Amino acid sequence: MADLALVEIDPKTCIPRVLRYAAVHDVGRPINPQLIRGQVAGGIVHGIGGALYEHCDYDDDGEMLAASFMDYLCPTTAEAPRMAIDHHDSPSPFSALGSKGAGENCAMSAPAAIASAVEDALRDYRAAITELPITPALIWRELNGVAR
Amino acid sequence: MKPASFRYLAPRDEAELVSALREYGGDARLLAGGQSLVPMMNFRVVTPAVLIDINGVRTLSFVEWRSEAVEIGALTRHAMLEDSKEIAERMPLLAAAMGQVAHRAVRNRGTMGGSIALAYPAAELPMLFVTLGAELRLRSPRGERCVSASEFIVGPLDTVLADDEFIHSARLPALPPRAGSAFIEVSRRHGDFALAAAAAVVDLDASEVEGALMGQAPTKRLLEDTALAVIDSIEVEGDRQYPAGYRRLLLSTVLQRALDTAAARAEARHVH
Repeated sequence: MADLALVEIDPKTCIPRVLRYAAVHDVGRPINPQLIRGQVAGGIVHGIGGALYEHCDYDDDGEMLAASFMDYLCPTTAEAPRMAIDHHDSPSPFSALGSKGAGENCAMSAPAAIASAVEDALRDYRAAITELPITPALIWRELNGVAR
Repeated sequence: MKPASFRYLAPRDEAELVSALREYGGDARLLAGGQSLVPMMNFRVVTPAVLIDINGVRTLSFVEWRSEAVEIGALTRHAMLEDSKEIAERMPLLAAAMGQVAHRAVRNRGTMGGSIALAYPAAELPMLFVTLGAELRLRSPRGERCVSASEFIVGPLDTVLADDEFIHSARLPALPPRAGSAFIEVSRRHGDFALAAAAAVVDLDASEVEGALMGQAPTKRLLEDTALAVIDSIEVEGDRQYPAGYRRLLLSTVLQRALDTAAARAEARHVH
């Protein structure tokens, strides 16, 4: 699979936004291309959640800080970028129809692509993104050289 | 999540509302749009013994124009303010702020009075009302009083509203005809509570201005310095997710952007 993310960071707010996203995944022989497209699109938004928003954070007393959807931020349609999605069809020799799994692999690829895009945007600051989600505070620390 | 049990009252007019408050004031909460109160009851952050549903008190829902001001009833929905052509023309700052309140579904139910009574620090209306010098009309079995928004809001989630009192309406003075205004808000996702927000009004014809700005053109540098000086005077608390330094950056960003945009709009309207 190959994923590309275009991410914009406002240096005055440290808030990242995914503007565009392209994904080409090897799904084997596609049975229903439209359904695969929907699965991949949903997986990309899921991946954006893992990359930028969804955070199971605990305070020093072990109290869960994101115990409701007020605090556990999930991406919505408003956070979904414009997407270009295509499939690479190489039939699997191991399944009866030559098909492979599709969609869920975005949960792996999207966070990696987005983290790489953020690192690239912050290259002048030699930022190294080593944790997810990439919160505004994390970007602020990288921009200002503030230790955690 | 379910709320603790409560008694439900639904007055049909202001007289019934006043008598319900006289009887149950200290144990009661007023239900308007319920966009904050109902989640708080479901989480059992608040457990009122009595819930007084004021949605039937129709006389509290209105937008009326006076010559120099607009009066807004407490039960007026955010969406009504957002959709009003007259507000868009004569109070563009209010229209801009309404568009930032959560999502449309919330704005369809949420009310002006509810937002002001809660005085949530990240909400749009309390900040805007203080900025614009709004005056609030409060009523109770004891009569009526008017207080300014800055007197009404004591601090985060804290107001001078008495147990037996309700917000009747707010009076917002019209902006000078050639003033420029802007409302800028930063949040992580669309519709989230603001991490920081600022409202600015720039009036190039004003006779009274801050000493530091008197007689000077609103250059970017001057506005930047003014914004930074203001932020230095604000007490900023940081937390695990949003450190104090980051919050200060956000405050200076929204304040500078609000001032820049408002100044540009004022310049565009100014007759040289």
